Amino acid sequence: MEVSTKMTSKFVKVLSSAALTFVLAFPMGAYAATNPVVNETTFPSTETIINGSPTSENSDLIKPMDVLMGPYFDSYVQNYVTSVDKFRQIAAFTLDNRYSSSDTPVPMSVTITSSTSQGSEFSGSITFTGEVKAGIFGGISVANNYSVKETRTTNEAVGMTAGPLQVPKGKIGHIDMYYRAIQSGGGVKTYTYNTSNPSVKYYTTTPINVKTYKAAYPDVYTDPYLQ
Amino acid sequence: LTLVGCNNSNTGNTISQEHVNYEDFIDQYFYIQKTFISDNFESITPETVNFVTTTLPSQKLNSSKKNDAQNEDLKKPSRLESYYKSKNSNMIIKIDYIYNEEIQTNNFLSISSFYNDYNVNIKNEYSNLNRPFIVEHFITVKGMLISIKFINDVERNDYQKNIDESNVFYHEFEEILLSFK
Repeated sequence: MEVSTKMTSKFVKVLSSAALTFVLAFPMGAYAATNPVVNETTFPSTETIINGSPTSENSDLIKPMDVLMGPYFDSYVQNYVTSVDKFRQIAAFTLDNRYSSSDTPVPMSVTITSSTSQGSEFSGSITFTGEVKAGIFGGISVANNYSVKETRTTNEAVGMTAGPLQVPKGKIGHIDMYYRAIQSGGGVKTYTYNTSNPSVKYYTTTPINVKTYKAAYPDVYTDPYLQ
Repeated sequence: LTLVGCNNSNTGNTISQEHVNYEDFIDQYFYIQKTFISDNFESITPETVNFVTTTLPSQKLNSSKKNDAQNEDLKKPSRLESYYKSKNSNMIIKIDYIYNEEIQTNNFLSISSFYNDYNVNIKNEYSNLNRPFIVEHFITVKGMLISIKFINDVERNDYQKNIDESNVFYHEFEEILLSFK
């Protein structure tokens, strides 16, 4: 009951304020003649509030939404390229020549007999989808005139040799072997568009950095040293 | 290319199938490295394991042998190693795996003890020589001798605690050895 009373009094207030507006908007002379119209004009506006939006607008809501598509790869512009010698370690060999009785240095030569698969390293505020990666690799190939690949596969380094490192008596010889990477830095240009107007593309350039492998051969960096 | 005296169907192979070949030894080692995960001990050996070989002092046991590599090939160490650290104490554990194709049986050979209060076979007048805590297990599984050394610098009251800890490690490690074929 109380709610109903409040609603009623609110409705009366709305009516009276609408009436007051009407009174102020029209000359006194017209008021008496148009008085019944006040109710008619007030009622549809109430209906509008209940429905939230006009029926004509509601029919728009079930049309396909305008969707943002992308980002899609456009191009990769390389700003610099460097070499990273010790990117992923493949193997490590040690020859301890401290126990030997001979004064003759021992030549240390080694060969990789097994290696695990090793991936690349991407950094940047972008989702590195297959399309983006492929695009970046294409850009790197063009910029440097050699092709690159994302993964060194299992046993790809098998048969790679290093040495001889001459290890004197009393020393420990080490040969560490790594996959060398190329490091390319630059900008990935991507675009998005709205389905409502696909011909208008919005471009963004995101700085990225990738450490990856030359495709032609297993580029192995050897680090021999004595301890 | 045909070499006189050599052919593909070499029947003079004296190594029986029971013998563990070198590649299997390497595989078993890496299997342990990957599989042995413990709540009480952590591996402190890097993923890229260093293949260590050592030149031997001049020796007459097999005098032509200059280093401990398999067939003296420096890329084929006869001994592989790994380290663990206790999560509950300062104990460090070193395991040596030594390839020997003639070892056929799984066998817990012995335990060697070495610490300050353990004076068996040390003359009384030398019983005060300061020593670190070292307990060593000698084990064989097919194709290899395994030595597990438990090393710590412990107070007098903690010997038994360390011995108990070495047993905990052994029982966890043994599970991996038993999973070998």
